[in-house]
Amino acid sequence: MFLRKTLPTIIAGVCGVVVVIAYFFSIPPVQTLASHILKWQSVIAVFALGLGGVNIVRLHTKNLQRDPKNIYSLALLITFVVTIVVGLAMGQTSPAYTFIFDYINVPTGSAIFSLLAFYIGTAAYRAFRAKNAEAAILLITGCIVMLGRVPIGAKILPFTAPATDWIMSVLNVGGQRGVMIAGAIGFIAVSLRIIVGLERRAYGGE
Amino acid sequence: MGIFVEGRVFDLITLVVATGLMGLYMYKARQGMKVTIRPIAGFAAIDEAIGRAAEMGKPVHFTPGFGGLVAATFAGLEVLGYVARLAAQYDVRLVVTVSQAETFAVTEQVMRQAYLEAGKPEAFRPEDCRFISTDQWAYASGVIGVLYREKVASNIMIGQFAAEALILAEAGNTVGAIQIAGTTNAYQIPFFVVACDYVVLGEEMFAAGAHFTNNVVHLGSLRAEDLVKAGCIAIMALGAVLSTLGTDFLTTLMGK
Repeated sequence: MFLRKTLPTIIAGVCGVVVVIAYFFSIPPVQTLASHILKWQSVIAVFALGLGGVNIVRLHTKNLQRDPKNIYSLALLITFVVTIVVGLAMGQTSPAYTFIFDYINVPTGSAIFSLLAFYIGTAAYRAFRAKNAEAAILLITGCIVMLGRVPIGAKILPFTAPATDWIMSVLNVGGQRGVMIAGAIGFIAVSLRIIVGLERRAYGGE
Repeated sequence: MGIFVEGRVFDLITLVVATGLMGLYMYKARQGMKVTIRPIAGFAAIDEAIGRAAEMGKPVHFTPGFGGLVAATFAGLEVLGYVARLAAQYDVRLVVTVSQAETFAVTEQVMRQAYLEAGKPEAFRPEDCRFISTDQWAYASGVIGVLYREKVASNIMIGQFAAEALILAEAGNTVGAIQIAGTTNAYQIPFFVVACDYVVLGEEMFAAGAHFTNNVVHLGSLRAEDLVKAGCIAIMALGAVLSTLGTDFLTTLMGK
């Protein structure tokens, strides 16, 4: 119990207080300690990455044992092992590793990102149906902003350009700042509960 | 300024006041002060989402998003605790996907504890808590794969999300899942609003603990948060008035 819950709570609390003090007060020893804590955080995260790697290998090995024709798990395990071996044996600046990164990792990431364009279209198609008053307001506002954002829109309906500026700088910014300020206050509350050990869910408590 | 870091004195005062209020109201709540919270549709719909999955005999998917161990992720894990308990009670399979390694270890522990609390520790399958990738788009494609392959009945996404939010929500919509989403990222909330059935808006996420467990500490902290918000609104109104009158007293004070 002490090692699983009490000790992590104490460590989180002490580290939290040190980092907060270092942020507000110009006390060199505390600031040095805080920078060490932030470095330790990165080191611990790397250990956690090892746990994640073990989880990936375990899960996909089981998938392959259940279904040897599972080409997705097979492809993942092969690329996982090849990338690690190339990175460790040849280094991260080697042509082979750069090739994997530039010609496999980056293009596949870009392909997934590009899905966003199509999904925006399908989501907008569903959202922009005037089923009720709120949806109608969303539809009208969306049309004004879309027209106001393109040169031809302002040519067709000149009022859309200033209306778009007003919608974006008053209504939109006001709403977003409300969400951000309230979110930040929530962040403080959760952080405080973690520092004083009242947020036990993270350590598996109630 | 001496001991203080320049430009952060007002921030420090604000933090001390906010922290003091939170401490005070947590104490008051523990002493028996009554705090009630309004129902949050997104949280109320979680029972429906798990019930639907039980009826359809399909799994539930949950993800705390792309963030590391930040406050929004902790709020998501609070919801996960409730979802996992309910899933264990109804014998519904729960698949959880995680993008950050440090979150993965905590998530697995939260799931294990929830199954234990539900009295069914043996029902917890470690392979259903899946670390996907720390790369944003690899994580997105991994979650899409899980949603399609597992044919989930319900998709719950509460935590820290970035540009992958709409991709995940649309993939969930494509498989016909009932979707509950929540994030504090103001840029992603509109995407969730258009693509999901229920959305927990920003700060509402932090009411998860109070909503699901009636935890007095959480309830007291919520009351204090409301007071701090009221204070922020008062300062903004005062700032608007002073700025209109042509004085920069407040902005100068806040810059100290």
